[in-house]
Amino acid sequence: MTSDHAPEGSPGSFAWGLAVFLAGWLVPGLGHALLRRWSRAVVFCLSVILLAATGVWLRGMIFGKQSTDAFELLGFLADLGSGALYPLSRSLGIAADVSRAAGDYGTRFFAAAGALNLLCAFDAYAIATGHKP
Amino acid sequence: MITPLGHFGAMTVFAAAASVTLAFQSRPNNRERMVYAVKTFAMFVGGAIALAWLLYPISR
Repeated sequence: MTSDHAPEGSPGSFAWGLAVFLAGWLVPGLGHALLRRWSRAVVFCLSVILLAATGVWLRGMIFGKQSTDAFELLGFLADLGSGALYPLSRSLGIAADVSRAAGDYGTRFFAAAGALNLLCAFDAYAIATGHKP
Repeated sequence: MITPLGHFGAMTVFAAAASVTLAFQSRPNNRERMVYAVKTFAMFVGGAIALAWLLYPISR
């Protein structure tokens, strides 16, 4: 079924794809779980959580929305890509320490988690709308 | 040790998570996924080691 001919809200439609995308973005792997792609759902969930948790553990910087320059804005957008992990990590209140290499690595780990999660959400969208088998 | 994981440990964790995720996104069956993940992991780690040696002479 293609997105051109699918009724709204049914599998293959844009609305269904958007719902799957949002679910996958908010909770890593949930988009694929809704599509019953269990192996992908588990792998994506574990990978994104592993990267985000490592980023927090290494005390990386998790950017807020009050960015002062373009790089911080990019960092914020990448961090936001991790969905619910973003407010969860911010709420832990762990102070970033980028004076050491570990903190700098942590910043990249969390941003990578967000970017990968967005890729996974787009993958779920493509499957849901029939653009990908 | 610079990080609790060490430079190599941090790089390995990142390479493993990224390569497995990309393999599951881009390949349809498990055999192809495994080959893709191993190749991507080797490129991540091998590339980093090669770059490190390339930069070694100007690091001192």
